[in-house]
Amino acid sequence: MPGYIRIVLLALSTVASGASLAGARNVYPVQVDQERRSASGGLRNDNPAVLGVIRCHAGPALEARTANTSSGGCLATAFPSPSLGVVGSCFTSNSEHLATIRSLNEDSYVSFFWDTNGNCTSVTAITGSLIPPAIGTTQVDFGPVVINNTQNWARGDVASTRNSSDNLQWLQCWVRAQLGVPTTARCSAQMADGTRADCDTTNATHLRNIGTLTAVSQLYFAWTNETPLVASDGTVLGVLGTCSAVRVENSTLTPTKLP
Amino acid sequence: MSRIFSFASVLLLVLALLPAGGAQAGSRNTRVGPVVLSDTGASGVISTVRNSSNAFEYINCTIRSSGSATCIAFDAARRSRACNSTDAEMIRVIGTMRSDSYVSFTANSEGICTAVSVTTGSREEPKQP
Repeated sequence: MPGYIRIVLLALSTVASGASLAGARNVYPVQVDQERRSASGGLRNDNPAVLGVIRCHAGPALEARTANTSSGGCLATAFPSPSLGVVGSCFTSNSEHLATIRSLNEDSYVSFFWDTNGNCTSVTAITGSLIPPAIGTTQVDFGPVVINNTQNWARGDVASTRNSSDNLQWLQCWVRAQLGVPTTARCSAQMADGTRADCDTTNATHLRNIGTLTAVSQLYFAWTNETPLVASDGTVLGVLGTCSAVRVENSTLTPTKLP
Repeated sequence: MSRIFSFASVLLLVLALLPAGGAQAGSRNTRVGPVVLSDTGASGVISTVRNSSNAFEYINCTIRSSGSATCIAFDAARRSRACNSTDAEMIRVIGTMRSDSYVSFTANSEGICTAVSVTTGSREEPKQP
């Protein structure tokens, strides 16, 4: 029996003995087994310092800003003791692995295995009633919107941006399909000081990654061919480029959106 | 062509309204409505529609394994718009909908979806129970 199936069955058997208040439910602490090169856990929890952190992304490494990078990966940190963090990670360009990573929801359970080179050998996602909801944490990774107009990138947590104390910053992507026209998408970011950057794309990998964006995602995009972003009244709102990279990460380390 | 312009005008109207968000924290999409109907389609934020005080309006999209999809919306006045699609790109975009996404669709006279857009980001409120 493949290792990942055993992991999944173990998780489900643990769930069966779960709480008795309402519906079968359980908490899934992040677990890392470096000897077997495996990691698993619930994507979301409210206490990452104890229950661990797990994150998976579709898109290039943050320092890469090239359009054709179709890659991704997962990283897990478990805390078997308060002072010990055990880390496991893998990277992949396998289309099936990436499709699984892109299927992650706000309340998914993830398990992954890797080889001696750190390449993912399997990625499994479970979504269902047994998994805790997208409960939030006060720990954040990216935080609100940051735009770097020198290196031409923008990034931010969707929820951190919404929950920020100012009323100027925002972050979003839209994707549009229209008969007879290539599907297009635009990602937009505006910082607390009003600085804004947008990028457009028809790149298939970018479109797939944008389609994974959720309310608890971290978004990073980079652009080239920058021109002024002009409103209909002639006001220059910021810059508009062609997306050169779009990365979406779903992680334990993001809060949930406030109303 | 006029339907394309109609879709574009609805989208541009919404995008123009979005930056003028609320005043509490983060820019917020408080002006877009529950369900808004146009001559050829409808739009709305899934969470805003659910959280509205009107018990009738809704906006739903369905994707079937047979390779088709349907989007339907009712506004507070119980008027509806709907469209169907077997177009793979349309279905893929519909599949990116989240619980707090802004969704817009237009249809031709035969009820076929001519355009679908989905926006996900920080400005839309979360769904309430």
